[in-house]
Amino acid sequence: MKNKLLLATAALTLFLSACSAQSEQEDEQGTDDLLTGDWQEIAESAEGQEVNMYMWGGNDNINRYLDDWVAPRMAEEYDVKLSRVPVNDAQDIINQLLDEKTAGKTDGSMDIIWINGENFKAAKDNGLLWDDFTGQLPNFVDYIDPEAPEVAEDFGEPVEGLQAPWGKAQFVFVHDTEKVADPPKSMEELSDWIRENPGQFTYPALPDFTGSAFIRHVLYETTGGHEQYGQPAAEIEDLEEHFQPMWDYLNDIEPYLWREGSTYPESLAKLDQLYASGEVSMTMSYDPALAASEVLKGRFPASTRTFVLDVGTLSNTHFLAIPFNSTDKAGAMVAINELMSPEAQTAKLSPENWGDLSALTFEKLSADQQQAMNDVDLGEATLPLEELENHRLPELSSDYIEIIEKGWMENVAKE
Amino acid sequence: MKELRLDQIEKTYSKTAANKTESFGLRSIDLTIREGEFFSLLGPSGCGKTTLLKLAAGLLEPDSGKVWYGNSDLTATPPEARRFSMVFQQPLLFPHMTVADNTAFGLKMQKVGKKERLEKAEAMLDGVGLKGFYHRFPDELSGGQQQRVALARALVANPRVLLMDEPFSALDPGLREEMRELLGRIQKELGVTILFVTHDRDEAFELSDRIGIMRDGRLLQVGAGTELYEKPVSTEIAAFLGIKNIILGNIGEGRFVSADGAITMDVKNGEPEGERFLILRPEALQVADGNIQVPGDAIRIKGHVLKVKFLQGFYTAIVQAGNHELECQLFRGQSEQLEAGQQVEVFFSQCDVRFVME
Amino acid sequence: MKKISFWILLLLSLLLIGIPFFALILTSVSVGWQWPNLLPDSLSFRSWDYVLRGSSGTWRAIGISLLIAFIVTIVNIVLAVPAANALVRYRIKGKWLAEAILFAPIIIPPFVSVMGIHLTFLRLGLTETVLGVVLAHLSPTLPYMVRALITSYSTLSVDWEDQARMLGAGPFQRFYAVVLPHLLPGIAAGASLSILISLSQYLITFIIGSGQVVTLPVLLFPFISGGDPAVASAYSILFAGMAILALLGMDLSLKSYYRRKKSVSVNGRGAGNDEGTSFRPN
Repeated sequence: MKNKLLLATAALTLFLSACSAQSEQEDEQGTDDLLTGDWQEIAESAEGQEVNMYMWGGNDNINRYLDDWVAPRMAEEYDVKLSRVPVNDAQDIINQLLDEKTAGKTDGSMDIIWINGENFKAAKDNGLLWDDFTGQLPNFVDYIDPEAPEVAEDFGEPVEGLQAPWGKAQFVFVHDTEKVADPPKSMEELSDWIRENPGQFTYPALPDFTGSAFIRHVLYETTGGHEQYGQPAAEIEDLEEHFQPMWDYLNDIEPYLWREGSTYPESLAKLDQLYASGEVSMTMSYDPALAASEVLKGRFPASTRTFVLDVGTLSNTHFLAIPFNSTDKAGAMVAINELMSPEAQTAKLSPENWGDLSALTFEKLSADQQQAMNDVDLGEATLPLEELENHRLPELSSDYIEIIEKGWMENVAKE
Repeated sequence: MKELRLDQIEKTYSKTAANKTESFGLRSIDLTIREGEFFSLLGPSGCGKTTLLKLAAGLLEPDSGKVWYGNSDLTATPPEARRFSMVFQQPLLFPHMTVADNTAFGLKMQKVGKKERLEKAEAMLDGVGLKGFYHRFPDELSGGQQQRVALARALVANPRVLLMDEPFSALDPGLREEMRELLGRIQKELGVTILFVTHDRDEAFELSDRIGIMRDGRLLQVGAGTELYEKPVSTEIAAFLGIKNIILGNIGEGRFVSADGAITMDVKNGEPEGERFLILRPEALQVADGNIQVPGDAIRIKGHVLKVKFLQGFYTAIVQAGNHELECQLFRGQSEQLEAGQQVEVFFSQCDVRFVME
Repeated sequence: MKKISFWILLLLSLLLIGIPFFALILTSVSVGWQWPNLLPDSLSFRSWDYVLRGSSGTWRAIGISLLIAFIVTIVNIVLAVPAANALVRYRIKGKWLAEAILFAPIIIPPFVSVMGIHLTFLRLGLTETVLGVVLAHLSPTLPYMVRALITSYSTLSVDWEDQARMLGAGPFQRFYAVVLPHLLPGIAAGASLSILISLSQYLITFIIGSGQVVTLPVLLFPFISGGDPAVASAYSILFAGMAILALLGMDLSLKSYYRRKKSVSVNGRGAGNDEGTSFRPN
């Protein structure tokens, strides 16, 4: 009995390893073609493939956009079946891929994953991503400026063609024009405005993501621009001294903040609520179109508008990547290419579908395509796309963010 | 002859009492229960009688020895294939089955058809006085009724031997009496072979053809009730059967002299000499008063009355003679004439005398 | 007096169960429901429209959730009955160790064990399969089934089986006629827990299923953490409905089992017996 079991296990293992060895061979042949071959051929080999797109599934608009807008087009035009797999946290995807890599699984089920920032860095560092494939995508070649910092780097990490940009987020301030007729355009002007209007401004307590972004803007402006932070934080010796002007600025405005700065809202949602109920005159967001949709819902006053700083605001890009063990890489490439098409990006921009900013370089679009994008009604509260695009600042890499979050607790919140 | 035979059975078993586990052993038990016989194993708790019963049932395996039924060796036969039945101390009726289904269970296991087995079950239930209770559930019956069902269930399967493990000990005394009668009657009607375990003397004596007395894993004596009572082979058995008049002494030169010298008597010819216990049943001892003719060959003992007791319809006097307190049964009327401290003479007949070695 | 306390109890349970449930329903159809408003400003069926539309895969997910919970429960019963029997009836050396291992999944958070399981399952090719998810679900559910059955077994004296043996019942018949009926309440309790726990697994299902085995929690969880209370509430209501349905289904099949048992004993005998259908342990 025991022997039989052992034998069966051994046979199974042999069989499994034989299978995987075989598919590996096929794989290497195929993938070389995909990286060098003609797009037409790639599109042909993608026909009939089923592409699993693993992405955060917690927004019904986004899900609908993929299920009802993208997937039918993929099936119709390319004979590729796009299946969206809902994920709670992109980190789970990375962990799974790590295990699959360790176990030597070569026939993974993930064909496209939606990631950025830390998750991209982890995936890249562990070799979980397939290859430099973006240069093969016609829509990437045609509509993306590969040298642009928001495409070439992802939170400071070189992208190296491992992932293709899908959309963008950009930090905007939200204000009520009835109370703030002439919004400040720099941190200095903001400081003045806060002193003149005590109790009307505050920001979410760190480590709230948006609150932390607000402080990064302060850092950029008070310490002389973002360029100096391209290197790792550990390489700047007098970092604490360097940060001092930022802490000074924050401590100077503190007495004029909401509740004299004795407390800060614990999240952006709380700040939004303060704004909605009229307690403060400004809030902030990483989604430039969010204010418009809140106005539409009737939560924010109709006089709500957004603004960016003259020097620009932080902007980051979210990307689509292909895991190392995807079994339908051709299909994945076709799907990503389609998701980057001006039509798909324009549809994605529409608040009815999603309201996510286009990843494409605006100037590279034809006049018609530009027109189509501009025709999307983003709501009065949203800034024009061009204005947003012209006021972009790159994100700070995560090692700085950690230091700032800790420093804020010690230098600002404590006192 | 289809008898149940236990052949050189040995078994170590443990009993747990007051947080301490002791090991006991059944030592080389030989026992034959004849076909149609009502046989009781009588002994105090922990003596191994239930263990012996379970060995006969097959619920326990002997360390050595064999269990025979007629000419077939059942030692390795599982209990379900022995065609024995067993009634436990608790009724153990299956709670989710009706009384009829419970009773028919054994027949069902024998693959008897549904109609037939229910008919037989109901007939047996009628026999134990439960006519009309067929569709009740066990929890709707009293304890006595439940035990009747258990009895019917055990009997209806027509067992080769019916094993019973103190089946009435959990019942009230009155009910117990009723059940004994029922069991005695049914046993005679059906002629079923019964191996019955009890610690209740009266129960064993009332029901049994033969009784085996057990103690500490040994079978001390086997015999009919009267035989055991009148001719116990040891003081242990005498004491267990409730005989208190046990007198240590010596036999020499045709005479028995008690250790304290208070009691002396001639013994029959041929009685071997040496240290002996004299056993006197209380009803063999009589108090001599003016109304009773004392036979000439009676043995007389002088003493004084310590007290007079009334027990279950009998008056008993405790008479102090030497160092011994002798229990002797009184006739009706005698009790009124006796009082504590009174000097009396008791006597007994030579033929009621029993000497044992230990 | 008795009546009054009954009504108070009913009212209380309605309040305790009803108010949160009512709040869930309101949330699922609300738009911009702000504190301290008692009721939402306006209603919309956006979330229900999303959850119930054809391409959302909700119904398929419910089907797979129930299928997995059902298989898990059956496997649990098959494993837990002999396990509980051994743990209660036999003196085994190192029994405490066996018990500790059996009950460890209750105390150890599931993601700890699932990480280890994942690698092994990957090598065995069990990921992305319903079978793999079922096996992984056994770890958090089996302890409850074993626990319930240990309780059942410890109230079942060996005498019952001995009695059945003495009436000629073999091992299978003893189990079916004596042990199973006695275990059923325990099995029912264990199965309820097993079903509920299996239905509510997210992490284990997601990791072992690698997104290819989509149960209702896999759809629901991103909405909970994503802060869309309307859709999350709609899914939660569906989830509650699914769980209640599964438990009701189990209850009904149990009841019909008892009814069958009873009718077997009543039928053919002609006599009526309106004894209700509840199980009567001794």
